[in-house]
Amino acid sequence: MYEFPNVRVEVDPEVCKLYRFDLLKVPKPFSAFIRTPLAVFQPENVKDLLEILKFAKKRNLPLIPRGAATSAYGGVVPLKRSLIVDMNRMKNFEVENGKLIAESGAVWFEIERKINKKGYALRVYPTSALVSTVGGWIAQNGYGIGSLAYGSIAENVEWLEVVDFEGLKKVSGDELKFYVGAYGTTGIIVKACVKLRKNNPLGVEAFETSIDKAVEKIDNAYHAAYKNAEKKIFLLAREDGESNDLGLKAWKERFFPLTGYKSTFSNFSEVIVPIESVVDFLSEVEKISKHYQVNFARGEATILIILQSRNILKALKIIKIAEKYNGRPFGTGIFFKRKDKDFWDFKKKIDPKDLLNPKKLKGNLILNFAGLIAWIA
Amino acid sequence: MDCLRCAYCNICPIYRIEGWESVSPRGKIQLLDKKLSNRLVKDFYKCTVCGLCEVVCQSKLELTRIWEENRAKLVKSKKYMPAHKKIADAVLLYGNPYAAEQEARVLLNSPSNVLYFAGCMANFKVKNIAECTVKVLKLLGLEFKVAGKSEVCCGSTMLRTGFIDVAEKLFLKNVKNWQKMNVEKIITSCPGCYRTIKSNYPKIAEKKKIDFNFEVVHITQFLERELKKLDLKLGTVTYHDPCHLGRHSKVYEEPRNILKKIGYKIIEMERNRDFSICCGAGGGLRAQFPEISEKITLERILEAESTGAETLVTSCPFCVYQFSKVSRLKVRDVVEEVYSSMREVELKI
Repeated sequence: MYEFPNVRVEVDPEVCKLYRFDLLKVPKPFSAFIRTPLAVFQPENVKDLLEILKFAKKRNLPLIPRGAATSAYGGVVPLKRSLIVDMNRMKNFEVENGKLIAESGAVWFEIERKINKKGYALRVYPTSALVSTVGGWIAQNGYGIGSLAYGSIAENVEWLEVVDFEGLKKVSGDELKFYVGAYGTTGIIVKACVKLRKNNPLGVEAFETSIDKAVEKIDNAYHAAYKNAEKKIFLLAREDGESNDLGLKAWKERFFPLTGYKSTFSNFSEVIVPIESVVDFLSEVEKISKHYQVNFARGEATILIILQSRNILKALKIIKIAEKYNGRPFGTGIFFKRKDKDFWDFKKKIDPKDLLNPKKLKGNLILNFAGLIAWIA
Repeated sequence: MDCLRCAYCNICPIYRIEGWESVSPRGKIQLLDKKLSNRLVKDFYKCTVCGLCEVVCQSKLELTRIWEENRAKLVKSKKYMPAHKKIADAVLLYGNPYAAEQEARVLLNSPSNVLYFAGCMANFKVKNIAECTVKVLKLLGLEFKVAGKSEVCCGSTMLRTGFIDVAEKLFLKNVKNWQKMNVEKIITSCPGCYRTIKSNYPKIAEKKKIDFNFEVVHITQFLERELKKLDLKLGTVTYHDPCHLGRHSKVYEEPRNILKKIGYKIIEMERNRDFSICCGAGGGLRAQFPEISEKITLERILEAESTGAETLVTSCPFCVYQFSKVSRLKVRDVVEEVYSSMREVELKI
């Protein structure tokens, strides 16, 4: 590693082992496929990144970009002996002409806190905003707070700066689809320009109600969420709306979707379902679990279902139910396949040796087999 | 419940500085009960035991207890930090962590059964806090006593760094002394002493089968009840929640109410109450990793400065000492402010 005098690098295998996981609970039989990274790099600028890429290319070593590793889809889990590129030291950001220009490792909520003072606010941010990063959420094409009014992060990115084996590139327009939601398989996101909203005060109200009544009330709101935990709470956030005590409490808890359920849980499944199918989907899912959180988005909803069992088959069965209602898994990662042919043609052109986050978005064979069993069950 | 690895605990200010997973609470949890290399042991001690990770933990793990218990296991297997061992040796030999003469501790004889326990920091490093506390309690007409050289370190730092045996020895010395002095109620200046005597001592007493019947209050809890409204026009302050008083003991409003009573307007920092960050001095971090400790302190100072308040007030001698080294803002303990205000009112009369 002497070639990197100026790049922070860690090669201690015991430390590298800690970079094998994200939120995904890998079932024991599959953990044998997970590799310990060879090294973890923490680049501080584009020059560092280009050096790392040059080093990886020369030695045919895979690279895995990593943000806060808060996703549950194994996007940062190494399935080959790899070099981890931990982006958390590239975290500068500023507001320029009313738009956010942020480096990949900037943390969403740190951005929100700072830009609020300047009269701006994020249009959308993840429920994991306390720690998750700009690059990580874009690479996952996440949905979150504000997605009801503004859609997924894909709809709010104006341009990206990415690095690949050819160097630094600025990407915008239609080409963004090759990077947003691509888990770093086509390049490492360095910087993003993200649309903002004016920091108009939000009124946050919450009520105890049923899911079918909640669905009828989401029009024109900034954010709406429904949590079936100890109580059935519907949260509605509107620009210049009214607030109530339950709403303020639920708004504060928006960052904690995995807490507040009657019993402890071991696993979860997360899907996106068309808005018109939410009620039917949930009535079917309630046979498996009554604990869930719905975050409404434009014309669809992301639904997190809490499971009391570690059985991955149950999680996969919920995805099959979602597919029946024209839904899909929330993320792809190591489990599911990205199906658009032009993406794979692009990937082949940019990264013919599959060194950029290899074996991702392809639908892992073994996990697909588990999915098949789940479907039969 | 097991750790979900959701990474919310990576809000940890030390992880944000160091950046390696081995320093993050999530990383440390994966390493529990594993044989640790010297490097990983060192990383395990990079923690102020501030408890912020516990506030955000979605698995609801009792992380502060987990860190303290695992530090105790490391100390048992002789894997301690040299700076912490030095403190342990000093408190056993001298009765305080600074190897200072015990005679320097505040002494006040009285037949009262109320004891003011100033603690090591207020007795030796920021003496003005102990002196102001004595004056304020006198002005309020309280009969009380101070133990002087027979007071020894409460053992808070020892409990946080894993030296349980040392903390238990200090417990025995203090409790025997309090019993001899007929103490019934203890008022502390230091949140570390408060948490230790209020929460840890009863557990040690149970383990050692010793009676422990002392009422313990922090000075801010006492003053909030006893202090009359002074309504002076004193300007603006920002208040820093000490970890042991705030997150660990849930005393958030009392110090703020005192400041309001004497006439201050409080401008809150962005991270306050349960989301406050540590001053950087806790859990033995300052002693062993001063460079990390100072970075955290600076981060908090900048946050305090950004409020535009004229003074940074806290209610912990440790925090006052830590902040005073780098702050451009005036740094004061609540009690110092109370004393100044009472004097001002007295002079006006």
